[in-house]
Amino acid sequence: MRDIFIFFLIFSLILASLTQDRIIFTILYLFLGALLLGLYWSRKSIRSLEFERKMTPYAFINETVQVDITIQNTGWLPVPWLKIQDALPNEISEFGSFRQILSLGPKEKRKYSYLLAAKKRGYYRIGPFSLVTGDLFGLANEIRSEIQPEHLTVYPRVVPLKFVKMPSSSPIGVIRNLQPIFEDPCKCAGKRDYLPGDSMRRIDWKTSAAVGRFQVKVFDPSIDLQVFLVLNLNLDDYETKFKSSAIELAILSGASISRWVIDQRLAIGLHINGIDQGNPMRKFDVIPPIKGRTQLIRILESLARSQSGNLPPITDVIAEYGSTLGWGTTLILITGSAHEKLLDQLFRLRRQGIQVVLIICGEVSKLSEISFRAKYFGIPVYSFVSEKDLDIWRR
Amino acid sequence: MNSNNSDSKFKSWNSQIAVRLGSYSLVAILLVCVAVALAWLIEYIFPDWNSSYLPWATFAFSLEAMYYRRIIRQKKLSLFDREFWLHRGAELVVLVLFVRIFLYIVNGVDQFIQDFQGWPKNWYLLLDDGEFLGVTLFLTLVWGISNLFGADLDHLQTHPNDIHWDTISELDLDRKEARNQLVGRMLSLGMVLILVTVIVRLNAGQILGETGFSRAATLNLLVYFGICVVLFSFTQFALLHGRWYWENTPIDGNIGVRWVRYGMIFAGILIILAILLPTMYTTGLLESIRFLLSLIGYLITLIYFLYTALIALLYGILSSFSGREVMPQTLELPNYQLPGKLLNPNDQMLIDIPIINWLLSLIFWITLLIVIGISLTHYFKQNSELFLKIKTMPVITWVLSLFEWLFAAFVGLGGHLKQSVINSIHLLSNPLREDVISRSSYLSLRKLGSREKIIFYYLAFLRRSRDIGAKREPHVTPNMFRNKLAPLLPDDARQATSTLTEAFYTARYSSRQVTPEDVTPALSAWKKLRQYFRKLRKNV
Repeated sequence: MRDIFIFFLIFSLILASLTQDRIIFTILYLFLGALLLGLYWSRKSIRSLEFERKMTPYAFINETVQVDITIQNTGWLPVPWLKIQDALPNEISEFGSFRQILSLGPKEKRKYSYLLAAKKRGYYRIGPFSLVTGDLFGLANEIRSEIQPEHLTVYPRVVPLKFVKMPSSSPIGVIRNLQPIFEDPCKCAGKRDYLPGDSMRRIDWKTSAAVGRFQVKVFDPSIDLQVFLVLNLNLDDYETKFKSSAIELAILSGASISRWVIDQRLAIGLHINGIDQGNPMRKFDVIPPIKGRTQLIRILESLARSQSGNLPPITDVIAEYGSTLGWGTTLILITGSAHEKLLDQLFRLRRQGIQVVLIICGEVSKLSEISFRAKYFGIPVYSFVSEKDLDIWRR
Repeated sequence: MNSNNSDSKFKSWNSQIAVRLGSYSLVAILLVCVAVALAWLIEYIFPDWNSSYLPWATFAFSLEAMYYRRIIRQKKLSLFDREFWLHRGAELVVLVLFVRIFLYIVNGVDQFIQDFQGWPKNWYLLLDDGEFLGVTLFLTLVWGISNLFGADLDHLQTHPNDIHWDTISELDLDRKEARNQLVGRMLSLGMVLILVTVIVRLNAGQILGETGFSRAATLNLLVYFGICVVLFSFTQFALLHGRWYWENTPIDGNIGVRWVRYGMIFAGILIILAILLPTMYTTGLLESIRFLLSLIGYLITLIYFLYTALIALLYGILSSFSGREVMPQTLELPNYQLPGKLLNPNDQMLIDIPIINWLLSLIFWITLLIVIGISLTHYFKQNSELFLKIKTMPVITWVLSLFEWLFAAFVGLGGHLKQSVINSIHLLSNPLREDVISRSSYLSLRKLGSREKIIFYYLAFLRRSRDIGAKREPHVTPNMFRNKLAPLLPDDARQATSTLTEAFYTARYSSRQVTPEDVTPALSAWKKLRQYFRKLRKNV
């Protein structure tokens, strides 16, 4: 189209030079003006557009997220046509990408909104938002501009657990323990008469004065549970047939245990042997054990972003981080299978004073063998094939 | 949402019909313009012939041709259908009859009575008329051209039945081709119109008088080419509308109305501008360049004067703070004059040229140079190999680098001047602030310590990122910025960003000693990133 146009301009120029006719100059100006206006207009239009996308960057499963888009023409020149498109992943969008053709007058602002359905855990890219515009006459090429994408984190589903039986050797905590080895001085269960050998520190002087004989305090035994969760998402450790469901179950278990631990006002840390979709290095940083709701959100975010892949073996990860765990910490390893080398490594940790729990998710062919070996090493093993298996902690 | 979608589609469909009807009428007016010019030519050749009816007949024929073509298309009749030939035959008879009756009405009833009496003997008297044959021939031509225009316009329309996913891309190409054909036809016809007008203008005085004809011819050409511009706009809308429709993209209902409005407004503005702009020049190109340079010199002197006045004022204010008396100084605007006289080559006398004539000549020459520039650009774009060969010639390379240097120096000078004026204004508004005075931007990297060097590399990295559009906002931490940038970078650049960020954290926030060994990885990371950014900028 532009070829014909330029040919016409050259023809007019030559004819104008030959005839010196004013009319032809006028026509030349008209067409040159149209060409220059077309070129300038499309460039100016795209520069004068302002865009804003408002959305909640986090959502729980089955929630709906509203995305509000505001687009404004800040210039005095109208934008005759504008094609906007927000690329959306199919997992959360029913209608594919959001698209619209609009026209913006000078200083005009338009608002659009669409809904995203958080059906599946994940870290989804919303965008990039692309703007395509051009001139009225079709003389200039279409101009495209892209705006950086944002992300929506859909937290994994959490199953509320009533009680999770976790071994711990850390004295003085919040969980009642039947073994009277670690007594908590904050939890006074009652008083009794003084017996020789009782510590002077245990004497309750006020009660002794009231009763007239020495009384000592009796404390409730308790344990502290500092949990470190290791989630293995290495595809090699999962049965190929069920890997997708097994990995999701592993994440669900991790999220549920984390919530239970945080609800008990205990500290929990996390390391995921998986791909972090939100990190350019694609690697997860270790979340050190901390108490509180913020920690739970941190853990859920990491779990939401996690993705399985061909990763370093879990034994390497345990070797790297196992030595950094404090004495008495409970290490919960959630994985797809456990081979001999891993069990040996877990046993070594146990001997270092770290309590180990092994949770195997998905179908495993040699489960009984693994359970037998683990029990021999004193490592409790839980096997979850479906979400229903978590009921053992829900009763 | 669905109802809104269908509603907006309905509205946009209506707007498409409005655009189609508008386009048909505009094509008819285009042909009327051609008919007007042709009528002038015929009247010049045959002064006795009154051809004033020709434009009206052209308008009617053109509309009929496009309308009837659409009806036949809707009936899906092909060349091999008997019904097709029946329709076309009937149309031909009606049109010939229309021309005959039209001519009788124009030339008077006497002619009809005379012919009517002769018909029983010589029925061919109906056709034995030079005017009738000439007009019929011309109108047949109009009919044919209108059919072609109508075919292109119909091709550009969106039909829901055309949607076949496997052929959409081909269809889109076809429609583009149809638009190109339409534009080509309009411009070709325009060239014919210009030629006819120019030929008639050479002897214009004999027809309408010099001034009268000049005005009429200008108006006729402007109407024609103004409509061309509007049609460019309409056909572009039709082309885009079809694409959007097939993509199933929701379209705003008011887009068609706005398109027509903007198309009309901007075509109007262009026409007015084209009329107002100078079509003749009083001074030559070199004289105009001399005027331009003088004008630039004058403006620079004026800016220099304002700047000096500002400094003097500032100096006075600051001195008054310190309590010293300042000697009053009078600043005078330099006596700089724009060229106002030109040597007349005939009598070697200086003649006064009003400044408006200088400006008009300048606009004239600039316009011509733009046309030449666009043409050259287009030519070299088509022959890129030739352009590359010329570009590598030593003389051209030298000239280009000189030009680039001059341009950069000019832009730099402008930037410094602007910054100085801004600083002075800031200083005037708050003379006690020190930070508004820009410090020297020269920095010796060798003199910096290891810690400062790493910080320097990181800041340079931020500057380069900003240049490619990834600006670090003040609230974004280096780590967040790294994460933000990561999806945009390839693996090695991502790794380099990470190394540089870590080094920056250590240099900026840690208390441990930073050694030259810590600088080396940061430097290599920075070099890698710089190389990547340069490549990216070149590609952009």
